[in-house]
Amino acid sequence: MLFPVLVGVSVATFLMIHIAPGDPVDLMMPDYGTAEDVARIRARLGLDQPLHIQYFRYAANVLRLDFGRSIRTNRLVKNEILSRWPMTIELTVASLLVAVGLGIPLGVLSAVKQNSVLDYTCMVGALIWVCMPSFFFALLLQLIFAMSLKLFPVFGRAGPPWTWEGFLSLVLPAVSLGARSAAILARLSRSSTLEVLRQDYIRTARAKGLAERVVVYKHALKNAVIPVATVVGLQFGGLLGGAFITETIFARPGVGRFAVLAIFNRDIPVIQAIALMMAVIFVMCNLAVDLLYAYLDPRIRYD
Amino acid sequence: MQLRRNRGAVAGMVVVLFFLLMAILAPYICPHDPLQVDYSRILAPPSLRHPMGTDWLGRDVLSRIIAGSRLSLSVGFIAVGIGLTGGTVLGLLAAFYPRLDNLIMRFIDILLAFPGLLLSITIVATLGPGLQNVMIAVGIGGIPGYARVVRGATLSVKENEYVQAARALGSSDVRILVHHVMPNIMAPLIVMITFGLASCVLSAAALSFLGLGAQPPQPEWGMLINEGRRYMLKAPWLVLGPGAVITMVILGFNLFGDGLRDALDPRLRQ
Amino acid sequence: MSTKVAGKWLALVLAMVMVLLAGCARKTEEAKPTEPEIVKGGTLRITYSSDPTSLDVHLTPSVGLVHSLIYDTLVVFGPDRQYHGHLAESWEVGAGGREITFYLRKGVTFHDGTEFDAEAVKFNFDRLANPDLASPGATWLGPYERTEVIDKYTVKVIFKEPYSPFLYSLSTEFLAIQSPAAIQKYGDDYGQKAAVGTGPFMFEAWEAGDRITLVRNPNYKWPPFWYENKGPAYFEKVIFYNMPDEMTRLLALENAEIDIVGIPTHAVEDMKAKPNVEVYEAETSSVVYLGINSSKAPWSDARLRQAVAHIVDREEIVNVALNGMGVPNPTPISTAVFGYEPSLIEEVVYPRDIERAKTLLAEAGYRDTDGDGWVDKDGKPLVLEIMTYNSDPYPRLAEVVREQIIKAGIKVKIKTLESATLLAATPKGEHDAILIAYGWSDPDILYYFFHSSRLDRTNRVHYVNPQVDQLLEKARTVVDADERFAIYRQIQSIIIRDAPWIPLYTPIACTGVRAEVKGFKLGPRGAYWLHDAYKEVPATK
Repeated sequence: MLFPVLVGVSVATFLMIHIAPGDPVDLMMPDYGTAEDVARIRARLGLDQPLHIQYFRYAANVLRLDFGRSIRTNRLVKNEILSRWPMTIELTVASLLVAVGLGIPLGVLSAVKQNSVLDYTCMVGALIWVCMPSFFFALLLQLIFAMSLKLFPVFGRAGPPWTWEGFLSLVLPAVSLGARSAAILARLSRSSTLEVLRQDYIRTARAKGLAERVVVYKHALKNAVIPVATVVGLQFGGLLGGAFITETIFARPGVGRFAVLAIFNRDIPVIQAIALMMAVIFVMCNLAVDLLYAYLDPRIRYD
Repeated sequence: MQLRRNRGAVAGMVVVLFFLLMAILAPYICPHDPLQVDYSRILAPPSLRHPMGTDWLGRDVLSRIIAGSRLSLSVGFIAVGIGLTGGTVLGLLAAFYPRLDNLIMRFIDILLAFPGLLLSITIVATLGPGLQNVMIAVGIGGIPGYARVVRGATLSVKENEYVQAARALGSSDVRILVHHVMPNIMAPLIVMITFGLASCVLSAAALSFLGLGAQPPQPEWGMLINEGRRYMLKAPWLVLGPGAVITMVILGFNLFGDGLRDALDPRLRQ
Repeated sequence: MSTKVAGKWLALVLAMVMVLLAGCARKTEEAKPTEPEIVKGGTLRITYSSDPTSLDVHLTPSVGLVHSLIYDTLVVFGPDRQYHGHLAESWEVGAGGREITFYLRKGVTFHDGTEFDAEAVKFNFDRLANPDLASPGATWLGPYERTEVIDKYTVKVIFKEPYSPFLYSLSTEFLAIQSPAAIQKYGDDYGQKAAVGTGPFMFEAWEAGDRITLVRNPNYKWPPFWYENKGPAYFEKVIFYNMPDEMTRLLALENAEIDIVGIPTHAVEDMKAKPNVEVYEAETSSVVYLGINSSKAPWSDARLRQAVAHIVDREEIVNVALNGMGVPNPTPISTAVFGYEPSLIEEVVYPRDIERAKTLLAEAGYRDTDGDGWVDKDGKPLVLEIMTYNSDPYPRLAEVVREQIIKAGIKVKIKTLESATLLAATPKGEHDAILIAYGWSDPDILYYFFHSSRLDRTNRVHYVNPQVDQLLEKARTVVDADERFAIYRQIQSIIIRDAPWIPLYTPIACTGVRAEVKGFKLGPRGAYWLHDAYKEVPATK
């Protein structure tokens, strides 16, 4: 299943970028360059070959793990992406932590204290943040916490997250990216905890007189984790894709932003490599979720 | 109907209807001409005359938001329409012609493997800017979801004894489609459409925010946020207004969709 | 206590006080010599928005400040808007303009210790011209034929035909002189892991995507003549930080993390109000213009274009869309560049006159026959579709221009495109108009925009005028500055009358500099003049 999908993504990206108007060399060439200059450089880069030849050459290289050079910077695409990859991972993991660390506990708590003020507040909040566009929330955070209250830097990545400045510059982006996932997880963990709490064996445990806390944490959580794990796995892929708007708004270096710039610059090798990479991640995420699902509850058979 | 009991769903429906009316009646209810500039009132804060302030060309923000509802909502509807049509066709083909099934499912997987926004940006880059192409780009992104649902529902119906009997008797595929498949998939499809509307409005706004959708001076909501962003500190109302409105519309569709799903899902009927 | 004891105590106390006072006095005298000495030095921190393609000037499509600090050029453009010698002390033009002999400065060394001489110049020019290298900067050499080494410090450059923009080429970093020894030594790594020139700073390290570090060249003794500092630079280090986002750069300037940053128009007011930041303004070498496709109906009719020229209000555009950060400019050459002729404004430029515009439209057959507010002809309204970039400030500019033009009854549609799409679309000639800009420091660039041989790429308005063609070609061969100026004046006059371009303004660029940096100046066209600049730092042993 993996291979055809990857090939499909690769071919589709290739075709789309070549159909898109605009030429990377022409874009880079200043005004005093002639059309012949552009043609000359295109020939040197192999861009004047027929499409299928270009693609086969590209595919052959990819199989040797050679992703070519960026047309704009002439550096190895592999290095360009690898150097930016950690920043995006940093952001994605941080937002996942926000989502899981905020969403699941609030969801479970809301379920345990059903119909309380906490419950209503959390659920209304969750509803709002599922619906609020992440770019809007990002701008709000910037406006309130960075520009007005000056608690966090407005933009940029001030350093690795284990430094104080680096950590501070990660907070707003992670929150803005993770808020929607947190809301989804909160609602999900609330409903699955509720469902589990109603189950017979929970009533039995309660009747046996075990402490409420033990009941909840031991039995309810363990079973509630299954659907939540599914969602977390899928959210990871989505977060990765959504990272790029956040990276753009907060001016953080990363693969997402690099990908958008590459599309604007028609930097073909870069776009292809990133599309392929994203496809691989997507497939792996799905596989991981499937495996996790099977591991956590072998009783459940799925299609 | 059960729906009425769900307060959230009713609220959602009210919100949706409110914005639909706004979009339909837009030209009549705008207090000012959304395109009218006034250089003497640049970036004015909210006042009686301009309840949501003015933008950097002195245009009334409230009017632009109202006019923008037409654009944003129509993009949402048409994008969903494209996704629904494409997805239904593919799903039906996959279910009725097993030889095509594998091919079509691979194609769906490929579509899904593209990171969503990146796919939209690439499509818009290929087709050119403008709201029509945004509709197509966002619509294409929705095809996998509808295709899967339609295919799944059709397949399960096909195995039905009743249907097999009908087929043996010579009923054409089309009849089976209309009489058996359609009623079955109505429910989940309607729910999907409702959520799909929300997500398409969001995606379209995101694309306009990146400068890839609406052309100036069109007041599409995402574009309004994009334009207002540079003045955010001096004039936050430029961003808050459109953002709040987008959130409300999506909220409305989501609440309504939740309610629909609860009402139509047979498992939850107790 | 008895008086005797009290007296002794008093004496003791007095003595102690006096000792203390004496000690203090001595301390203050001694304090002065132990204060640290303040010298001129420090590290200068600048930003760049994306990594240069290469530090090898022969392999990069664009050059920037980092190149100008590592390398020197033969010729520099001075504050008097004239070309002066730098690595070349003087030159002679011969053979009707086809040969230029340069007399080189002696005693100049590259960072690697090798000597700068005629061989080095020849090596560099030949390498740039080498077709195998496919250098993006090769066009700067024009109709280059070869270079001859006459003696160690004399070199002759020979062209196939006279090439008057050559002095300008020589003042750009594309024709800067790199160390031949280093190029040969480092091979493919040159430009990525090494960059050796004769400039005031030496290459130390380049961490891709992060920063480029330069250190002071301690042997530097040949700065351009307008500097007071005739020796090595004051700064010990210059570090370029990669900051693609302009807001990050501004914030970094405010927080004293960066010393010099270009300031976008919308942030100028805020920056001027900040206490520790100095804002310098300079007119750029750019012109933002509305270019109208002169080969496609209906806009191929010059009267329609002239009508638009009568409509645009440049002051309004600059004030509303740019907050005043521009100089209204109706000529195709920037106000800061050789060739700019303000007298053309009185003489040739169409004044703002909506009535005259409407008359011209009517002459061309366009009147509002159905009373809907839009002019039409044969039942079809007149539409001007303007393509422009989707990045700031172009959509705003387009909106303001649109508001002006629709007042005359012409419908205007705006299409914002990615630059790749826009630039790819113009050679096709199907567009009505483009709102874009160019930046160039020599009037020769007009050749690329208006000559009929460039219709396949840079002549984006598809303007064909044999008279202009001839004049543009002639201007390239004339080496005398006054004669050149006169020819370009004539060219501009024709272009303004025909209106394939309606130039709007020359942008003003603002640079913000931290107050800790002293001695900084902004040169013509916004160049950073850094050689007299320094920070006050304590002396290190």
